[in-house]
Amino acid sequence: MSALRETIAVTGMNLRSLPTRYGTSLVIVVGIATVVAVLVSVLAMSRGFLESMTRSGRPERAIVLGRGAEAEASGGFPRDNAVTVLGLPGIKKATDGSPLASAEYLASVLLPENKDGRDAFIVVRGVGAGAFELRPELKLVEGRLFKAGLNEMIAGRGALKQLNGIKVGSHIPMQNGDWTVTGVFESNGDSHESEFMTDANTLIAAMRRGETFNSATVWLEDGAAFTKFKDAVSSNPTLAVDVKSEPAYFEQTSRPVARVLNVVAYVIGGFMALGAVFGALNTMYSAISARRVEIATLRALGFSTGAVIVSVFAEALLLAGVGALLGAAVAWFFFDNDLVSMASATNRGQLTFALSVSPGLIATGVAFALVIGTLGGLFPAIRVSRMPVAVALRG
Amino acid sequence: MKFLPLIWCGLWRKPARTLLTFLSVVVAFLLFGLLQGVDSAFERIVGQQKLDRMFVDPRFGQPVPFSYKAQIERVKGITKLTEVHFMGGYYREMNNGLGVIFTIPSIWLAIRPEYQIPKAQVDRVAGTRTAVVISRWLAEHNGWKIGDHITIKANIPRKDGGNDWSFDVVGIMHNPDAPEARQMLANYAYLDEARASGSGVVSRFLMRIDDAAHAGRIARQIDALFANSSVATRTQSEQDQVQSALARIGDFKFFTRAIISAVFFALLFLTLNTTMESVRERTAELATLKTLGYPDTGLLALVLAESLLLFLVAAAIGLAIAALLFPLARDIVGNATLPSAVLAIGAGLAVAAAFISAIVPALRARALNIVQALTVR
Repeated sequence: MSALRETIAVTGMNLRSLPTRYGTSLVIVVGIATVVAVLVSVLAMSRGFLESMTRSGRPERAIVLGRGAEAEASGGFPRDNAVTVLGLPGIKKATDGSPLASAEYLASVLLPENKDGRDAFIVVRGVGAGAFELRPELKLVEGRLFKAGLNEMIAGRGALKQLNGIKVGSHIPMQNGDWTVTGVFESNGDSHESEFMTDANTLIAAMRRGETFNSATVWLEDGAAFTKFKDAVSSNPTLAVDVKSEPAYFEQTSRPVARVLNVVAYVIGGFMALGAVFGALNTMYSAISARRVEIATLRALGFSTGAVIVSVFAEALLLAGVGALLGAAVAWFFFDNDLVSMASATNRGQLTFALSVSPGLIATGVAFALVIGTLGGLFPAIRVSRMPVAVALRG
Repeated sequence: MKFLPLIWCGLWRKPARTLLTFLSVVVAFLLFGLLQGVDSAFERIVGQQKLDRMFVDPRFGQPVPFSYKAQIERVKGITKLTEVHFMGGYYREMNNGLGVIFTIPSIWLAIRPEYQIPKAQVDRVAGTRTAVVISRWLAEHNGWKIGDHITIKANIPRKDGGNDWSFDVVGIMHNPDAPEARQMLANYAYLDEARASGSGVVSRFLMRIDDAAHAGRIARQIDALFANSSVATRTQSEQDQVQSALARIGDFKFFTRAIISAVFFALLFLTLNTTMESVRERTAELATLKTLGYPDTGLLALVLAESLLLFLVAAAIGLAIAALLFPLARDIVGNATLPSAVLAIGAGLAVAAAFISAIVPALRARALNIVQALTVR
């Protein structure tokens, strides 16, 4: 009990004396804040990307791709295949009795000027009539839907954020003349929000590129229907397509990119943390050097070495904690919900997504900081315990 | 030089502090070397792209009719022109991917002189319908040599119903800037005869023009030719294209700059603090030097020199480690050496950082009043 009181007394005294060493103390705080801010921001990018991609997938849905195609844009299948696929068993029926499915066609449109004055590829997704019942997350927030047969399309909110001045009523130059943007849609911040949408048949006719679809998305009857549907696809010799569940498809296409971002975050964060450990050691050595006479006096008065060591650690961890919170606050303030645009992993377009600074990432940053603080306090604490009282008192 | 021992002693007055500061500087320059290295490598890629090499691409991503070639050819200023059609495939294993470029290989190679290949091998391509020129990496990786008959699986179906494309290796090419390219060049005529559908279309046209200054005029002229055709075109120089492709990866420059600035901000904070502390501790010693007749500016120079020595040696070590580690980034930037410009920028940065972190303490040392400094003690 008295050991505890002793420790609290020494630690409290030490922390109260911190302001007299504010210059060196700030070194730890600033060093660790920098590490945490960088680490959390890059991880937030990786996380935002993954969230945006995986949010696009729902376990009830499956996606049909051209045989051997890794992604929608890299393959296709002819119209007769699309018709056959939509008639297979396992697909849920829509309210009007037709299959709840959409055969889709992707076109990429080059818009010469985006926000940064560079070329931007925007994906225009031609969808079937069932696309909106198939994707309940799709919501029109402005204007009206496109009409099949007319040169009209609706724009994803994410896509518009990257483009300069395009809004409802704007014209988009396409193969067969200008198309009109009739509305804006939101899609829960997923990858479709970075696209434009229109009627598949109108788009196919306009592009004059043959009757080829890039993918078909279907809503399955129930959990067991995936196997049924997949078997029906693979047992039909006229079909040259593959089936994947939607979450598996989006996860598989986004994993490599997210992995690269994570590696970058931890490699850079790791090196910076190493630098911050050196900085923290420096600070703590000079802190104990400034407290040398004080510490020796305490020990001469009978305070235990343990209490002094704890006070050194408490100082290091407190400063590390303050640094971590400061760094996380900087990352959150500047980058949370910040929009980033990156080459899409699944098609030729751009993917726009929001960075996401989550509590989990902040916890990761704080954990990093506390490890730095512990390492920074360790060796100085060892030195404290070995400091001969008499020599230190002589100053 | 006779002051070197004095500077050295000043630095090592507190060995632990100097060592830790030194290591922080090493780490900061290591990070700088890696990040700036990747950044410069990207810039070098853009710089290597030629302004007098141009592409005619479809504006809306459709295949381009081969028949455009005759019309493009008539535009003034084009010296070499060839069609290009891409085919993706793999050899034996799905993960052993490669790209086939169907073109007129002799013209393609003439437009891209950076590819090294004996002329005799190029001459043999035209005579054999199924001839192929493979990159050195493919030759080494798959054990292929000239004279081999190779079969790959590809994403373009053949008239005979299969996906197996066979080629005869007649040459091996090498581009020192892209040593790991997995590409091969084959005759466009072979593709057009053998493919099941889509005959008479190409991915793009590649051309060389007489003068880079004509690029804008030629691009406008070609695009005007097809503005109202079934497939509209977009003509661009190689450099423009690579620049916008890199921009699509994400704003890499912003991230490297932001991280490097953050690292150096934290570093300067640390070194400024340690130098201040070191000068403060040595007040009496510096005053003694002044008493012995050292001029005020001498003390200023002494403090600055200490900082400069520390930064230069540490930065050299940090950049050396970065140069050693840089080949690990090969997958991202394609080339395995740290650009020398990074070393020059790094040296400049080291001098600047040394100056910034020591100028305030150095001025303080210069302004030191002997009587006061010695009485405080």
